[in-house]
Amino acid sequence: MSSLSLRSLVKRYDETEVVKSVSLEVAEGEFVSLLGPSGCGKTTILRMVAGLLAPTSGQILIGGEDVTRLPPNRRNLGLVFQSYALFPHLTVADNVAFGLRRLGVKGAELSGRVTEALARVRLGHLGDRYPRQLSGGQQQRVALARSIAPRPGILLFDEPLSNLDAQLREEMQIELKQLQAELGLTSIFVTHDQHEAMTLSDRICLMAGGVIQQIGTPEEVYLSPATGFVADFIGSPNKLSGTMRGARVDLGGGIALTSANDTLADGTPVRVTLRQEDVAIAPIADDAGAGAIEGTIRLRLFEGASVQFLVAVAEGVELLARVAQQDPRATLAPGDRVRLSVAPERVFVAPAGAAGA
Amino acid sequence: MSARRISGLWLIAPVTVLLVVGFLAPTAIMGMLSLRNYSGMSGIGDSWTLENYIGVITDPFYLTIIGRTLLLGVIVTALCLLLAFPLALFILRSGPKVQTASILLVIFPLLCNIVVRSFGWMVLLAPRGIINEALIGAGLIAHPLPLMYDLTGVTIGLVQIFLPFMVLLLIPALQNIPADVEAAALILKASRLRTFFTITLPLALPGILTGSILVFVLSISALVTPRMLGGPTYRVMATQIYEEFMTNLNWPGGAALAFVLTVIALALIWGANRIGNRLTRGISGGNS
Amino acid sequence: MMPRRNSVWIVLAAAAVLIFMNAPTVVVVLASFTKTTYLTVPPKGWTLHWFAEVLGDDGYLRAIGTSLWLACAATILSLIFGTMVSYALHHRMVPGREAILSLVMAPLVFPAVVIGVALLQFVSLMGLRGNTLILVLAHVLITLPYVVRSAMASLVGINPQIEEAAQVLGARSFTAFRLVTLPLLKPGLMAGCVFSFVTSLDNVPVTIFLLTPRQSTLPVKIYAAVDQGVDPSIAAASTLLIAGAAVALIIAQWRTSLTRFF
Repeated sequence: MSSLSLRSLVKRYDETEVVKSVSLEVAEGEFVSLLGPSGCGKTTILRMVAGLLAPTSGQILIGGEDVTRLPPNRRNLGLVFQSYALFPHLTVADNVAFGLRRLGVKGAELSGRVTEALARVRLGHLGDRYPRQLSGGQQQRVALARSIAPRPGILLFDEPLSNLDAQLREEMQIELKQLQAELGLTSIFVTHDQHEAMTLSDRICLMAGGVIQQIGTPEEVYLSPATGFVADFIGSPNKLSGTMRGARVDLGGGIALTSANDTLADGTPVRVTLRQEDVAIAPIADDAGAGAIEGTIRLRLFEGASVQFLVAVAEGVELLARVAQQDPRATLAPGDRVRLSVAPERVFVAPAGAAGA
Repeated sequence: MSARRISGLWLIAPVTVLLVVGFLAPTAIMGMLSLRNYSGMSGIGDSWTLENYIGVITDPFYLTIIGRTLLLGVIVTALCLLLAFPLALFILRSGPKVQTASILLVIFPLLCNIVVRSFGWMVLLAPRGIINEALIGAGLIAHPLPLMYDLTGVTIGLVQIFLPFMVLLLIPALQNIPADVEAAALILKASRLRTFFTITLPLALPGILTGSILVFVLSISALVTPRMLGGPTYRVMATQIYEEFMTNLNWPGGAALAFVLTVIALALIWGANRIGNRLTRGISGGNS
Repeated sequence: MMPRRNSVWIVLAAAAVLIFMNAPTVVVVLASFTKTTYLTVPPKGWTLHWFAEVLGDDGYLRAIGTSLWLACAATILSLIFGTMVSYALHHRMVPGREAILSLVMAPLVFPAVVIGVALLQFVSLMGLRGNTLILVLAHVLITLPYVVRSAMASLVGINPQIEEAAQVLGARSFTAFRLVTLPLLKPGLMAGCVFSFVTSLDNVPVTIFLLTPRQSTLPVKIYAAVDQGVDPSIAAASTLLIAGAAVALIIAQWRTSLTRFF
């Protein structure tokens, strides 16, 4: 296993800087996700790490060795593609053997390691098949086996699960996490799916516009977003605009919330982010505590595990709130008067028009 | 320069050299030569002149040849279209087995040598050839029909030679016509024939145009078939160019004629591309 | 397209056109077996005499030899150079993609006789008349479009990431191409290869200007022989070329089911 460090990595195409001086340290055995919307530069970084794209400037170190100028075949990496990129003219076993053969592995050792890699992904019985004879999930597993068979220093994933349907994706997430933990693989995982990133990662590196917005554990990124962009991107947010009035945020229509953020000057126009799951909803009879806003339920959306409410709180101001399906409040109905409240530390404010969006 | 760009340049290097040495440079040199005067002694004179071009476009001898070549192109193209249409429709409407068999029968002559095919026509069309002998034998005619050494023979030969191209280009053109458009016309009680002329034909127009231009350009450039079926005296542009170079040794004059032929061919292709683009845009509603 | 029944008229017309298209070749093949010294169909009696005559004639044998090695050399070079240039153009590794492609394809529509005389002039000025290499290169020039067209079409169907996958797995870029892209290109290149071979084997309008009087290829030899008088040995030589075309067609249909491309 190897560590990875990116030092002031820049990628420029003509006039556009796709990656703007990105630095990142990944420890041995660590699982780090590069998360962000499309065009944020995450795939570009992955391709530079793999050696498929040359950086404009900056350094890439694998296990402390500078590999910036090395071709992909000399970096000892594994890469799992979104399209799987299996070799269609080779059997599953030959696909897995490809990397081993390049290392000069032969004979009994070769077949042993192919069998072992296929067993790891529970495809030991399909070695003789061709990729086109397999389902999407099986193809994905072959791609995984092919990448781990040569025992790479770092395993790279380029949105590997996004071609699978929802159920299969969850299964594969668990399998992937188990495999990574067993083998202690250093992994870089590119995704635009925040749930996938949070489920799998030791740390998340959230990117936008070619810049790292925040690096932290899933908890840190979720609970204390560093920028307005992170707050907006993670969770299912209500996005509002308002103005600072002391420690409170005026949302217009006579509605105001207390925010724990007290660094912004009075009168500053701000973007306000409230996660749906942070918006506490209660029947009007209950005492919902300080800072409560009254409103009327307009819509009730049953989602299975949870129930979502659209609540009109003032002229032109509507908030989404979400409660678990087992929660007694899940039985509230459209037309009911409710009280909404948000804990001050869950009210994220950022100056309006700030970078990162 | 990136490593990728450098390997790219290596990859195109052989073909680039070949194109420059084998195509661009010879054509450019010929262009210069066509502007030299013709000297009876060495063939190529020392002074610059437009004489050769003026000769080609004013001398009745050359004008007859150019006119004949263009007329031949028009007739061959029209006949190819006329014959290719029913065959293309037949192939499209047949089951897979008949389809494969007919396409093989279309491709096979394409793979057969042009000299061999022209020779086949000589055997058939000659004054004492198979067709004339058969007709005389049957008592239908007393004297052999003149089927060769004139427009008839050259036309028959060229039509047969270029027909496969037309068929193979018409098939995709007709295939692209949505079946429901034709069906809709039929449901609206348009007759089969009317549907063909108002729906099928216009929609196939871009393909027809491509095929026609190709056949026309190939016909006016053809050397072997006109020489074999037209004989030494019935000249077209390509055979005349051959004569100028190989028999008369008037290279500047031959080069000028070659350039006139090239300009006609390239201008047609260029023009057809422009019209074709407009047609395609009109049909696909500008989403291409 | 909705499968619609063919009317009797279309079937008759199509059959007539197919007969017209294949008539000259059938006539030549039949005539080559005749026992008479003149050409006649149906042949009067059956003999292989004319084939023996062709295959016993030094001039014909040399011409067949020249035709075959020329077609082989031109096809092999076309395959190599054509695949290289297609790869670079497909992956947009160099600027001027459209211009290069149009130039490569130009010999398909550029009057062949013009290419022939231009090359004749060029080699005369360079003092290279009768040079075999020039002949090969001229044939590469006219066969290249077929290879490039089929290679470009095949490359479109290949996921560019599989070559990257091979590289990341430790293959140098050429190894990745050889082990992954090339096997996938093979069926498409096969069709280009057949067309390239047949085009080279058939060519007269360019070849005839580049041969010295002592050299000949089979079609040029037949072309010249016809001028000196027609006899069944010419039909026999032609039949050999027709047989070659038939073999090429069968190989192409068998290996790549050629008819799919149309």
